[in-house]
Amino acid sequence: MCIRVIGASNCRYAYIGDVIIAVIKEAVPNTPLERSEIIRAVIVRTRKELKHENWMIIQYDDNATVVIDQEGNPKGTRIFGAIARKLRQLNFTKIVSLAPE
Amino acid sequence: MNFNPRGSLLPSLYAYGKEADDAFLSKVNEDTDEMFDDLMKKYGEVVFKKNGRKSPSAELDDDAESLSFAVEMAKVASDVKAADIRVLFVKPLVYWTRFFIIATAFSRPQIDAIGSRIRDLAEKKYGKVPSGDAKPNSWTLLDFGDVVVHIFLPQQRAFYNLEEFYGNATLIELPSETQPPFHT
Repeated sequence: MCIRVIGASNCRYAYIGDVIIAVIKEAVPNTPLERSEIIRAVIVRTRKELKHENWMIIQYDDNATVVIDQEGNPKGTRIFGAIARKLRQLNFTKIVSLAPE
Repeated sequence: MNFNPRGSLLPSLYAYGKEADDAFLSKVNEDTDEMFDDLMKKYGEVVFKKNGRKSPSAELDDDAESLSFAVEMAKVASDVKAADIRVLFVKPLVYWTRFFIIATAFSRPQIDAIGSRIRDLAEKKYGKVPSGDAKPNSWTLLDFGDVVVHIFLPQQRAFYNLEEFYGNATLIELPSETQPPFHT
């Protein structure tokens, strides 16, 4: 669950490419992350449509984030699902390079 | 009282009118494919062509340019004593870049040194400014558009294992600098 959006104070919503502070509500057992842990994450997919400058609009079926550490490196080793190319422009090329296709 | 024995469908619940049949169960087979091809050839015209598609020879030239840039960056990294430098040709696998350079550095100051040297050379010689990490990170990434440089600490390299993920990419052979000097 999202607690705060980093970067802008009083920001109401976070979009693709925003870093958020979140708390884990449910965790798969036997993973490094546990329930009620506070983490940083980057939003990579949203059900709310993302508008590109060239009038292209992208909308996904789910909301998804990638958990990162304080330095901005992803905590996991692989990423599942599609990733928008906007993340590359926002300096998240590491996530893009771990994503499939 | 209506009850359905388990496993039996009720065909009366589904509207199998003839029109529905034609719409949903279209009989696409090889004959219709051929028919469509013929129609396209006779009457089809190109309405919209995506601009920016280069001819294969121009693309090869760009590839060669990026390759020389990548090899030069790899040489800079080896000058600063980076270990296990690999240049991967990822264009067939990935749409957003052409080459990956993966290198291992053994300390953060070394990562900083490699990063700053690569940045300086790219700016001076090629005029390219990278986006990516400014501060040295255990995984430092420099994005030059066609070429992406990854500099890892040894533990991170083993943790993320990019070579396994891009195992299908062609490895580019680098001219080895560690050739023994010629003794007469």
